[in-house]
Amino acid sequence: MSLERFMKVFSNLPINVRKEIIVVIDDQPITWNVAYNEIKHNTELGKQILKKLIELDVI
Amino acid sequence: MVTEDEIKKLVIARLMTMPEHLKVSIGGYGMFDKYALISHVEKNDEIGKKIIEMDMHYLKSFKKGDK
Amino acid sequence: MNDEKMFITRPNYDDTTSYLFHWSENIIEFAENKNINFIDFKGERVNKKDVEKLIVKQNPKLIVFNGHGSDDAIYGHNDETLIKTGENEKILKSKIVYSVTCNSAKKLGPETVKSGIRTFIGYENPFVFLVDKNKTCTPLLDKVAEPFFDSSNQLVISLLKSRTTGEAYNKSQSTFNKWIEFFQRSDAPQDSLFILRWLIWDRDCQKLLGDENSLF
Repeated sequence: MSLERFMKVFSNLPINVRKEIIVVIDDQPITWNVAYNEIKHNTELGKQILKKLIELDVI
Repeated sequence: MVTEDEIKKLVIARLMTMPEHLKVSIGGYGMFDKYALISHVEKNDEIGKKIIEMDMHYLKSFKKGDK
Repeated sequence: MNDEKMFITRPNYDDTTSYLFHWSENIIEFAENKNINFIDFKGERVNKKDVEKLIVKQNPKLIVFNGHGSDDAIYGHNDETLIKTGENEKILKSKIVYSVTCNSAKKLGPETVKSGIRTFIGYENPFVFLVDKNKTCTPLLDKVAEPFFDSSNQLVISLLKSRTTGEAYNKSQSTFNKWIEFFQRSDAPQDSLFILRWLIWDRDCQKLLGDENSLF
C-alpha cells in the first residue's frame, strides 16, 4: 500500500524534481531518486523513508 | 509521528542547496538569501514558520498531482 | 475606445517594491499602446490622502495596487496604510481591484466584496518572488524574477484586452502553469527548482473574489 502510494507520486514527478531532497533520516538528506532505489529494493532504510514520507503527508 | 524538529531539518537541508546568487522576497518581511532563510527556520520565528509552510506546500503539491 | 480608467499604484522604497515598480512598466506600456486611460501614482504619491482623493474624484474602474499588504490592509509608500478593513474599503465599491500585495485576499478582499466591490483579486498569503542578487539594480533584466511578474501581469493585461475578471484570472493561472511546466522540464535552466517552489506557492495563493464576469 505504501509502495503504491510512493510509486504513484514518484512516477508523476518531473525528472529534475527527482533530484530534490524530500526527507532527512539520521541527519542524512535523501532525494526522491535515492528514496526510489531504497524503496524499490525494500531495504530497512527504504521502510524508514516510506514511513516518514507518509507522516510528512508528501505521499 | 513527524516532529517539528524533523521538518525544520528537512527544510534546512533543502535550503542548503539553494544557489548563492538567489534571494527570496517574502512580502513585507523583506528579501533573504539562503543563510538568512536558514537562520529564520532555525529560530522558528514568524518568518521561519512561513518558510516552512511554503516549502511543505510545495512538497505536498506533488501528492495532489499538481504541476 | 474604452473611456474607463485604470489606476495603478507603484511605491518604490525597498527592494521588493522596486521590483514591483519596474515590472509594472510592462502593464503601463501595454496600456499606452492601446490608448487606455490610466493614472500612475509613483513613489511618495502613493499615500492615503492622495490615493483616496483620486479614487473618489476620478472613479477608476480598475485599480492595481502594488506594494506591501496584510490580511486586512494595503500599504503605500513607506508602509502607510492606504485601504483598511473597517476604515475605507467602501471607496472600492463597484470597482475591479487587483492587489499585488501580501495577504490582502484573506480579510480585506472578502470585506470589500461585502461592501460592494465588483471583483477583488489578490493573494491570501505573501506574494513571493525570487531574484538574482546580481540583477537587483536592473530588475527588468532579472530572468529569475520574470516568471513571477509575467504571470501576475497577464492578469491586468487580460483585463485591458477586455477579458472578464474570470478569464483574466484563468489567464494568470495558466501563465503560472506554463512557467511551472517549463521549469519542470529536464532541460530547464539552473535555479529552476527554486523558482518552481515559489511559483507554485503564488499560483495557489492567488484568489478571485466577487464577480467573475466583470469587464474593464
